[in-house]
Amino acid sequence: MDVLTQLALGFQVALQPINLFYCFLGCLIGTMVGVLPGLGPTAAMSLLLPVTFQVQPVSAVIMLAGIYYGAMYGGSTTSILVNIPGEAASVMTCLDGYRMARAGRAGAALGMAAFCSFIAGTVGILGLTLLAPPLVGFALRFGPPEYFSLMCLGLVVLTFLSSTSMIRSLMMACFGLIVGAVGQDVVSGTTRFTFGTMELMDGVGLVPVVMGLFGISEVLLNLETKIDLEIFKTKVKGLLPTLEDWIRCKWALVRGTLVGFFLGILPGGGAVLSSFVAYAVEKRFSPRGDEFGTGMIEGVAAPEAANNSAAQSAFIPLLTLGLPSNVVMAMLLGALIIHGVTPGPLLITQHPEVFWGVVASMYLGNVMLLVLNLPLVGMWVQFLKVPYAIMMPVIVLFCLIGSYTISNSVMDIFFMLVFGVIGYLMKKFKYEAPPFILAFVLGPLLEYSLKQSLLISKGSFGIFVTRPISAVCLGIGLILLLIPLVPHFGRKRPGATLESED
Amino acid sequence: MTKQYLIADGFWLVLAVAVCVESWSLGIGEFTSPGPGFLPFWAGVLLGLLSLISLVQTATEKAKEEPSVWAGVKILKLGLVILTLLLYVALLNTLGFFLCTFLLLLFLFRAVEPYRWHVVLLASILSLAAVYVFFVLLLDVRLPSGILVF
Repeated sequence: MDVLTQLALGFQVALQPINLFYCFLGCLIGTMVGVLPGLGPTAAMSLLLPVTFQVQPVSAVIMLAGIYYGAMYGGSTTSILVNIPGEAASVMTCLDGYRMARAGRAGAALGMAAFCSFIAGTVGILGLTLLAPPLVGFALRFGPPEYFSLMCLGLVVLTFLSSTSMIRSLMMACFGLIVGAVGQDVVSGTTRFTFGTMELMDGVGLVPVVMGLFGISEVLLNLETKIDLEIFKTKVKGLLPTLEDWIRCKWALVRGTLVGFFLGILPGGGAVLSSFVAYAVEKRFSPRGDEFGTGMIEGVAAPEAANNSAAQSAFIPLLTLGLPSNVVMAMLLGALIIHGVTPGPLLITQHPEVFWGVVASMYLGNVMLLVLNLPLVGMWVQFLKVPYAIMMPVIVLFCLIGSYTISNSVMDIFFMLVFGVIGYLMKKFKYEAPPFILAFVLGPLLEYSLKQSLLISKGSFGIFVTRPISAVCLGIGLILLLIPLVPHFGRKRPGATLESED
Repeated sequence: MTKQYLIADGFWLVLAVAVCVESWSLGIGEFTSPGPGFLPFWAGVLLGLLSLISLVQTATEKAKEEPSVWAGVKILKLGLVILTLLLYVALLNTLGFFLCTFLLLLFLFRAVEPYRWHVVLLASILSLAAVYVFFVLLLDVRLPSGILVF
């Protein structure tokens, strides 16, 4: 009953006209960036983060969350009609979705993708609603050593899942920690790595870094290639899947939702990983597994259910422990902190309107997305026809304004350009950005937890292995670090076939 | 190809050493009372070790027939875009946001695809008008005015 009362409070917040507007805006932008290849939810959220400074924290998070789960819906449209994933979590939808489109069943594929996204997304939110409050009690048992170990585990999992070399991903995590240390030391107040500039006293801002790494670097990279989208020309009709489609997809939907939900909670997991795993699971369990890749509707249902379910469950560790499980959640953590709201076990009691408002807005957002994605699919197809040469200067313009408005400083634009070039070089030399961003965001919190733990234990590292939760986290992290050294398992590392979150 | 990756690994190694030296001078403290250089020092040590491993891996692996990292890169176009963006930063306060951004947009709209000038002009003006309405009028964001009055 208590959950229902709290949820009612959430709906009171979410149904306020201004919050409904921001929820709709987030879903709309999310669908848009999902549809457009090359612009993922991370880049879009970083572009719009500065815009949210003018609004209430709850409205800001409602909009940013809407962009994330909205992109999961939109990505499938491009995968099915163009055979290019609109964003990374829709890669697996291409395999069977595009084949269905070529066989004249584009409507059924789009319809099933949207319905599965809706159902799995709603189940994900239900899970978030029911699981988050009891988890808060568990999270209150977390002290500095547990936080430190869990953050280390999150970083290790993310590097383990990286699509390139694990060593290089770990290097990027170290680099992220170093850049995160720029500015004042949290304990002593000593300035570090500022090179005598006042602008670096508060450290490097999150917004210039992410805009540079995900926005400007992408623009520089796309100068090399001419993006030509060949949209499969077909009349999209029959968006409602047939009864036979539903019967075929029922277990794919259930399995995809469950896989997505649990992988979304895992540190380092997220929508991309879950769609890959859900497709593999479905291929293994479906009676038509051998025919996957030839236009099986189950191959659309499973990954789409998984990525939407994961997009919702990823909020559980963020909102209960204050720990982001992937790079998008790291962005949201940064946004919440900028707004003066610290996510963690106390969020539900201190800011119930933020927690329950965001949860309730997700129920509403899911309905909005169903309406946006099914009847308006024709509009999104038209949107794909905007040439990249027009989009590129607009993206640069957003980056420039976004990084400037953080503190009305030209230096922030300069930092953004520097990180744009760094991000470009990282992509060229196959170094991954997500471990860097996660370490950069977590760095100050990780340092604080480490120092507090050492102060509590009077300098003994034993505190990290004598406390059960901490020991388990470090143990799992150690196993993941050692797996690549074992030849047989190392080759099967999921990240070997996985692309980054953006 | 391998040489380019060796240079990249070497860069991280040099950076790691520099971070360790600077962190040491900040004071890493004791385990009982860690100093301001504690975390960056150990992050630097780890970065150095990892880049050393990567360096050895790259140096000992068989040379692959992969295209160069710079294959297909239009160096002139890339350099021009980066230089223009840096010039933009340098001139922003002097010329003001709208004039400076207008010139930048003209360049960028022509840089990727050589659209006709009237299209470029129209796209630049429309983009800036949208920025003015949304950011300045609606969100009351203050952008540098420079030599212009707005």
